[in-house]
Amino acid sequence: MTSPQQEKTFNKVYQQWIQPLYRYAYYQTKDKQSAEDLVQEAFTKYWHKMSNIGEGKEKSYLYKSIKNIWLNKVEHQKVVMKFETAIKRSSQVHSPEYLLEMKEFKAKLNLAISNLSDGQREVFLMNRIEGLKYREIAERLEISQKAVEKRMSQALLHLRKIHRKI
Amino acid sequence: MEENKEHIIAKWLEGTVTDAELNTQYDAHMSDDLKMIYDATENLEVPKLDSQALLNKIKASRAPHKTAKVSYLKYWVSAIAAILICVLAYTSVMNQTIVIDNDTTTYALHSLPDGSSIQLNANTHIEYDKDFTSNRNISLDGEAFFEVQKGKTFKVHTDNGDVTVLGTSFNVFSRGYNLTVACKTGKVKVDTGAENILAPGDKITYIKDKLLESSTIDTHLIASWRDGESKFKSSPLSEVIQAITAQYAYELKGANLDLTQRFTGSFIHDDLNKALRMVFLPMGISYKLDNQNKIILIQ
Repeated sequence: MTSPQQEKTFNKVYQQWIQPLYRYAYYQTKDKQSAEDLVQEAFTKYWHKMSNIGEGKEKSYLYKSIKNIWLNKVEHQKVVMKFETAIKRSSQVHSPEYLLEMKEFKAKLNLAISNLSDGQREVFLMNRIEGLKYREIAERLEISQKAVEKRMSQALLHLRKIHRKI
Repeated sequence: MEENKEHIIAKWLEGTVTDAELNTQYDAHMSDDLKMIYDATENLEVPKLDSQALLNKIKASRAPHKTAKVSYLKYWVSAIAAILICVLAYTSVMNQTIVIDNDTTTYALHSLPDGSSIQLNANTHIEYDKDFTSNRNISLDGEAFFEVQKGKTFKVHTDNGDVTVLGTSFNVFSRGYNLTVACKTGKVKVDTGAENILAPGDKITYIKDKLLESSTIDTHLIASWRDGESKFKSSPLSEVIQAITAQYAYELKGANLDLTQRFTGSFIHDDLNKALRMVFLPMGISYKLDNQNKIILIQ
């Protein structure tokens, strides 16, 4: 592969996948800076391996690299994720009690999500944040759709348990 | 039962099961909790990323092209070396056959114990005995270009026939029912039941053991796939389709296609869409990609 062509393909793949991959990295690292570093490392690795990766295989290659690079990092700090909550577009009207309860609840929830198992957390957030269908998640992570369903329901049940404890 | 309950939760989260159905499986307390968690995770967002800034950073940290290529080559060589070590370790235990699989989409160089070399195109498999130097027999499935050191008879076995030489360079394409042999230097004997001798520039094509064509080709066009582009000169469509399948790992399917019609032209190895256009547009064949690595051809 000649260099200009390689550069072009690289740019295309980057533009297409950087946002979901960055979010995926964030689900692992729970921290913006580490997520950026992780994505940078994965794309650099991809650049060097490009000619070995068939068309259409970039996505699963990059998802897998992010996971592997992260698993190989020795020091995993305990970090609590910081999510930004977008303004709710829902027209549903809630009671003030519900809204207050919800606000406190959300703070606890961030902690609980951070403490989910890696497998449950990545699947849960890919669905809840990115709105990905189970089929799409299964395809990106190269796991079965059944496994996605299982992790989803277990994540939710786990969050509920923690919620009750607090 | 528990499994089914979990299944309902997953379906409900996905939106394919209603709140009412969830309520039939769980008590009100539980369903309320689940709904609350669902609501609370409705609008989560991860911190924003400046993707352009990060791209610049990646490009800056990436090694310049030249070194990138060298280091890539280094990986490649060490990968081959690693494969060889595994293969050798395996064979020293088994003391039998050496197997080389090139499963990548690029080509791989392999040196034989007698000093001959083989360049394997994508998705190509070769096997030979450990005592190759005294018995130069090799099995091939796929496509490879051979540069044979002078010496004893050198034989390439394929499912579609055998190719025998003394010292020469030649290309063998054997995929499915297609066999094409092109001789670059020296002399090559092709045996598919009947024997044919090829001189430099001779090319011979068989489908299902039947001789389809014997023609001449510019020797510099032989094994052009090593430059990242597969070239064909009045080759049967079946051979071109086999080559695309091997290169891109896509299955090509078509009804009522005349697989013996000829194609002259080429396709590139690093862009599927362009490759398909290069082959099927001039042939008047339309094609459609589905999302399961299949390509449907319609004449």
